[in-house]
Amino acid sequence: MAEKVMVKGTEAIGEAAIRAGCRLYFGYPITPQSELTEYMSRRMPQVDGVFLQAESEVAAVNMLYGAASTGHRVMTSTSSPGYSLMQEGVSYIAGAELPVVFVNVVRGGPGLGDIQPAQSDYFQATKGGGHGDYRLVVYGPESLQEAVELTAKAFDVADKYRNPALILADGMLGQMMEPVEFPEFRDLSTLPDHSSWAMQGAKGREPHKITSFDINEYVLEQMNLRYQEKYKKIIENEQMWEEYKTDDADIIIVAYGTMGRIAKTIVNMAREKGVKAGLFRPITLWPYPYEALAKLADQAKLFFTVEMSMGQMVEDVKLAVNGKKTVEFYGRTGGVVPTPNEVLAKLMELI
Amino acid sequence: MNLKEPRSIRISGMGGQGNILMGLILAESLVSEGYWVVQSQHYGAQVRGGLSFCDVLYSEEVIDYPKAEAFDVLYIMNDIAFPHLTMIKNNGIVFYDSSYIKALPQTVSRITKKIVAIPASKLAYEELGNTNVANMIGLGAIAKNCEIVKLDTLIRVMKKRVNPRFFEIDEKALKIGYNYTNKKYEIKTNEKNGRGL
Repeated sequence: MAEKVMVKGTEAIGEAAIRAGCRLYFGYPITPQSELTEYMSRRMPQVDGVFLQAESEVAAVNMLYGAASTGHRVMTSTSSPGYSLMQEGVSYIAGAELPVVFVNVVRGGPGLGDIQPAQSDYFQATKGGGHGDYRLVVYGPESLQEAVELTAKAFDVADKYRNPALILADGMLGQMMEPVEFPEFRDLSTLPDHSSWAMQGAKGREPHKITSFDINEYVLEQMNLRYQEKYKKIIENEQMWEEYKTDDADIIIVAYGTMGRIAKTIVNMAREKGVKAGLFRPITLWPYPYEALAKLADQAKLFFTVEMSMGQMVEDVKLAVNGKKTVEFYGRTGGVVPTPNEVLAKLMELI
Repeated sequence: MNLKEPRSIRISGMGGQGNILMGLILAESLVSEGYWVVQSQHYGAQVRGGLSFCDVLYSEEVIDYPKAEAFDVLYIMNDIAFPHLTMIKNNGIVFYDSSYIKALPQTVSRITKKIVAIPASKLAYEELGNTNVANMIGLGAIAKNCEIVKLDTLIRVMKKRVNPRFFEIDEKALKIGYNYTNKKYEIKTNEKNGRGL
């Protein structure tokens, strides 16, 4: 077993990406994820990779588009305002069906906001952000260990479906340090073969075309229907969630990421008071585990969603529960991380 | 169920005094002694000279809530960090660098009597000719007086984290801090300590 090392969240994700076989990084520094960009600038030359600091996030995302067209594993990382700048390119990459891994270490918004942890980019991450009918596979890690595992997973899933994936972290996960066990380095010769579509030199064969464009509306509609077929498969195969003490629970707390791990403390505090609470923690935010959550609607009296936002994921909780039970919400925003005591106090008011 | 809060240490000072490195070495030492550890630091538009702090939480179990509302141990490097004194738990342990701080505000003694004055910067200058290593002296003192990590572990971890040029002086500084006083204050683990002020 590998040794547990103490690392910062941003650096853990960077190292995990390298171990997953990523050798191309394009990015632009922004707090609270600048350490990831810095880490890649130091690490990429050591592994014969490429680090390129773009002149802006707009440039970075278009460099990703080009680099991903070659079939190599590529990534970028940014924080909220930077990810907003990238949205045009994210939409193009989704339309061109390119496997790219994005990391958004979310900070307080809207606008310039602040640099403290937040979960207020959930809508942008899971419901679009850019234009068009497209989806990204979105992962919401709760710990640095999970962030490491999901980073490797994101590359695999992106390759498997030729679709971009997003690690949705927050300033807390990005900046804190925690013990982590890293996986072994991926043998680069075992990475998926993309020679059937990638731009790798057309000598002796028909050229490949990678585009999100077709002027004929019927052809573009066919392209869209193909994307939707792919999304259907992702929904069928890629949902991830964790249930914590839900077996006998009649209060289901729903929370993800940093708020998800904090909710475990809240579950235990509530149980000390005799309240049978449990946690449902979505790990994939798209595809959202609607059916798994819906199953709990029979046993639960109340769903209680907690977020570091003014209420975004709560809409998916309501879609899952579908009016069968009451769905309540508590959130703090602007970079404030709710304390277990304040969330518990709110929960006790509700029951 | 036994709900144990993690033990919590905050190191506060002026940006540039080395509190982050202190917290990092302490955190990694605790990991190597088998604890679950979360280290976080204040991040913002920090500049040399502004308030800066580093929190270390540790427990036998996985830590879900990565922050602390009140602390078992505070290390105050400079009076710029006095506002953090309100975050010490009842009967918590307060260290301060008495080279820069003449006395703590009197209100602190109403919350705890466990106060350790250590002239870390003065010792660093007089014995090693370099005030930069005051943080290592402070770290040695915390490790010894709260009995949380062994000196050997601190030295081993320090050597993973600093430039080899500083191995010798940092090791000396850790030892000076470790041997400065024999006071022993146990961090009470299970007592539900109320918030101080």
